[in-house]
Order: sequence, then structure tokens, then C-alpha cells
Amino acid sequence: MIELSRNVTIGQYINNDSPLTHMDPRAKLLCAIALIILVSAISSFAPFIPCLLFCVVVLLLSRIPAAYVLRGFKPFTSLLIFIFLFQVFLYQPAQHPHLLWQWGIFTLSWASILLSVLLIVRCLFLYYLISMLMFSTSIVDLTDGAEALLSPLQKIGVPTNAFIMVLVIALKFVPIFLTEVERLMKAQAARGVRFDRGNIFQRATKIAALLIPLFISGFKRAETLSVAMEARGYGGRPGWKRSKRRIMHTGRGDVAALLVSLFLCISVVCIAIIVPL
Amino acid sequence: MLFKLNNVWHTYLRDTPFAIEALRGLSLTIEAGQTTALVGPTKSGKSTVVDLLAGLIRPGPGTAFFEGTDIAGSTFDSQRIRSRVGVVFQSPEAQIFEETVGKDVSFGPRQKGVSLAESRRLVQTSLEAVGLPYEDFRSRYTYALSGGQKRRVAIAGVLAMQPKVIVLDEPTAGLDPRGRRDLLDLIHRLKHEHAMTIIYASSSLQEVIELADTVHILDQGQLAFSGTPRAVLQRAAEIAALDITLPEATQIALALRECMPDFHTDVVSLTELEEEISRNMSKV
Repeated sequence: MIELSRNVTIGQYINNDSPLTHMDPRAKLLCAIALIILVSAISSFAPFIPCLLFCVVVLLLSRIPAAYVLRGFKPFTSLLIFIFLFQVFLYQPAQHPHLLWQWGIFTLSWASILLSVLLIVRCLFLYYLISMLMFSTSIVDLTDGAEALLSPLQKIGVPTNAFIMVLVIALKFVPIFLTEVERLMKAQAARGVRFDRGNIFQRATKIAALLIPLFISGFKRAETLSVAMEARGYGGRPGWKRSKRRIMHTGRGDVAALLVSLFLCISVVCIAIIVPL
Repeated sequence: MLFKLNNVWHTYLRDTPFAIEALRGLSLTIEAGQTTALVGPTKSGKSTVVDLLAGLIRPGPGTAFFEGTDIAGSTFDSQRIRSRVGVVFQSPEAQIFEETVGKDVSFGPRQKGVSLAESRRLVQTSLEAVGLPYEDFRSRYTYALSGGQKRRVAIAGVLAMQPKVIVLDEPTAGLDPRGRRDLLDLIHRLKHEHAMTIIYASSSLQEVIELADTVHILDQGQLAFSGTPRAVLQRAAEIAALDITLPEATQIALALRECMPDFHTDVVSLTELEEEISRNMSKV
């Protein structure tokens, strides 16, 4: 059965009235950025434990079924396994080369195993944080929040609005493209293509045949979107400033969220110093 | 019996926050050699039935039989259904994926692995069956076609697979009145000249009333009721309540019924409406 959007969850917005969807986008973005930096910087296992607890709390607050969030990892796993294998067999520690196994350029050591597992854990956390941000933030909130945070750059002449718009559209186009691929696959399946048959190369060729019509429809969509944006006065003349109908409010919950994130960062740094592994 | 659906349920995006229950215990049968219309308002589950008949989805709970074999059974080969049932999906733009008309129409035969000469012949006959001259259209670019032409090319692409059954999902949606009439004429030709089994999903009863042998009225993923076009029109008030477009004559008949309770609503044409009016007037 052809139903890609069941498994690919990136870029979806789930408007379920949860406390996360009501957060001030600026505060939410700040928390997300702090946590992303934190997760990227951690280089041992113990500090991930408070991070995991925090993720569970976020999941409960978001009111999104855990199964749905976890299913989002599915298309991602093969890539992760690929990265893991590369890392584990090709990494050569500079010091203490206690090699467990060696064959040509491929080596295996405890250090490389630890490092690779850490890398995968880090990837999973990053993916989780970004998807939670996407699940709970509408496209308007995301642009407004990012614009507000980057407004200092705007003052020195960087066209931040345009960049953010491009980024947000790219992210939000993922689910749209998926439905498009689904339609194309259905149309081809109805005319005799079997996506569930053949070896990996035959399957890859079948998928490749979807790319050209996908690109054509993508270009058409982009053109329609740009005309629609222009018709609604997007862009305007230099010096014009768009006013906003919705004004962002930072409430008590947002301050609490920022404090919790800050506390998490500090505690993680402390744990990293105390527990070396 | 071509298709037999028995208490079929289907949920799109199951186990996600976006889950939609499209079919809720639908049961209906579709006979071979007939023209069957599936009529219902938006979200009534028409397109899901089309996907099911095309062998693209399997029933959730419930059973679906194609020519007596269970579609969900482990031994069922979905290729069997796909080689006999051709589907024209809702938006023809989605169904055309090759650059030129000739390449697109020949896609099905090429997948089957027929010879070049045979595929050429199939493309020619199917393009001509939909009223597009082969020499003129074969090398045209698909993106430069008009909406009506795209629909014809999509139908030709399906005909080239030589199906016994053709399923059309809202084939006239978004066409201008002329394109609509031309397309309906084409479907009439497929029915009478090519003797095909036609399954036609539509939100308008007006379109299918002359074409169909059996009408199934769908509502919220269930079968509301079914029968011959005339039998169905007797319950015109219920159909109108479901937001289904009735034939013009029936709409008038339904309005007249308010002042003449005895007025029959199973009128298909204006002539029949006239007869019904004079029948009622003579009684007064």
C-alpha cells in the first residue's frame, strides 16, 4: 500500500491545542536552539540522561502519540545505520590504538564503537528536537519567531526575512512533495509498475522515474506560490515594513520554559564535568 | 459479479494525528457488463472505493472480492486486478507523467512488455478511441495540453492497457460545459461501442443519470441506498439533503412536490417532467 505520509513526519504541523502550540514562538525557538547546541556539544553518555527526561516531558506536553513520533525515525534509520558503519569501521583513534579487528583500511576499536554510538544518540536527539519544534509550530509562528530573533541582522542590511521565508517554505514543502510522490506512485502502479517487486537496483530505477514528473510539478507549484505571494503584496519596496496582525506575547509559561531549558543546560554541563564517561 | 464489498472499513493515515476514517462499513456489489455510478457528496468515500477497486489499498476490517477472490487474501495477485481494471484518477494531471503524449499512452503497454509494433498499434487505437488524432498528438508535449485534452490522454493511457473495466473518478470536475459534454459523449461511446464495464464516481447525479444502469448513493463512508436511476430518483428529497446535484428536471419536480404532494420525482428529462405536470394538473 502506498501511504508515505504515514511514516515520514518531518515538516508536519499538528494543531492539537497543546501547551506547546500556544508557546511564544520566540521563546520556543530560543529553547530549541539552546537544546540543539547542548546536544551537539555533549561528548559523553551520562549527560544524555537528563536530556532524555526532558524529551519525555516535552512529549507529554505536546500530547502527540509517542508511536507517531517514533515512526518518524523509521525512514531515518537506514541512513543512521549507514553513518554508524562508516564511522565505526573507518575511524582511527590517534591515541591508544587498541584495535579489536583490522582488515585493510577497516579497523574496529572500543574508542570507535563508543564514538559512533554517541554520534547516533546525538543524531536521534537532534532529530527529535527539530521534529518536535516542527510538530508544534505553524508556518506563520515559525517565520514570525525567527524574524523577531534575527531582527538585529536586518538592521545591518541582511535580508533575513527572505532567507527565513525560503527556509520555512522548504521545510513545509516536504509533506506536500510526499503527497505528490504518492499520487505519482498510485498513477504508475495503476498502469502496471510494481514498486514492491525487483531487487534494490530495479526498485531504485522505478523511484528515479518519479523524479522528473516530481520536479516538473515542483517548479509549477513554486511558480504558483510566487505569483500568489506577489498578488498579496509580499516583498514590496525597499524601506517598506510589513505590519503584523498577530502580536507575540511572552507569558509565564514561556519564561518557565526558558528557565527549565537554562537549568537543563547548566545541569548537563555539571554532569559532564563530574561524570567523565 | 465483478466486485463484492462486505462491511469494508478504511482509515487513511492510521495511527497518526491526521487519521481520517474514509469508509465505515461499506457493503455493495458491482456487476460486470454494467455501468455503475457511485454518487455521494465530498468526503463520502468515493475516491477510497476507487482506490480499493484499483487494487491500490486493502480493506481495513471487512472483505472485498474481485471476481470471487478475496483481495486481502495472501494468494491474491494485485496484478490481476490491475490488468483488468483501468483507473482514471481524479486529477488527470497527476496521472500523466511522461513528456509526450505518445510516450505517456504507451507507458502501460511498455510495462507489460508488448512488442514495439503492438504498443504502437495500441497507442493509435486508444488515442483515436478518445477522439485525438494519432499523427497530430503522438509527439505533443503533455504539459501543453488543455484540461480536456489531458483527461482524454489519461483515459487513452488506461485504454492502452486493454482493461475490461474502466473506473472514472469525477472525470468531469473542473471542465467547462463543452469539455464536460464531450467527455460524457466519450464515456457513452466506451459503454456502447467498446462494451466496457464502467464504474463512475461523481458528486452529481445529473451527470450519470442517463449513463448508469445502477446507482449507489454513498454517505459518510457507508452505502445510503442503491437502485436503478429511476428507483433512486424516487427518493430525491433524501438525495438533495445529502448535497448531491440532482438532474434539472428532478430539481423542479422536487420543488413542485411541495404544492402537489402526489408529484413523482423520478423524472429524468424535461419531457417526462412535462408529462408528470399534466398528469397532476388533470387530477385537480
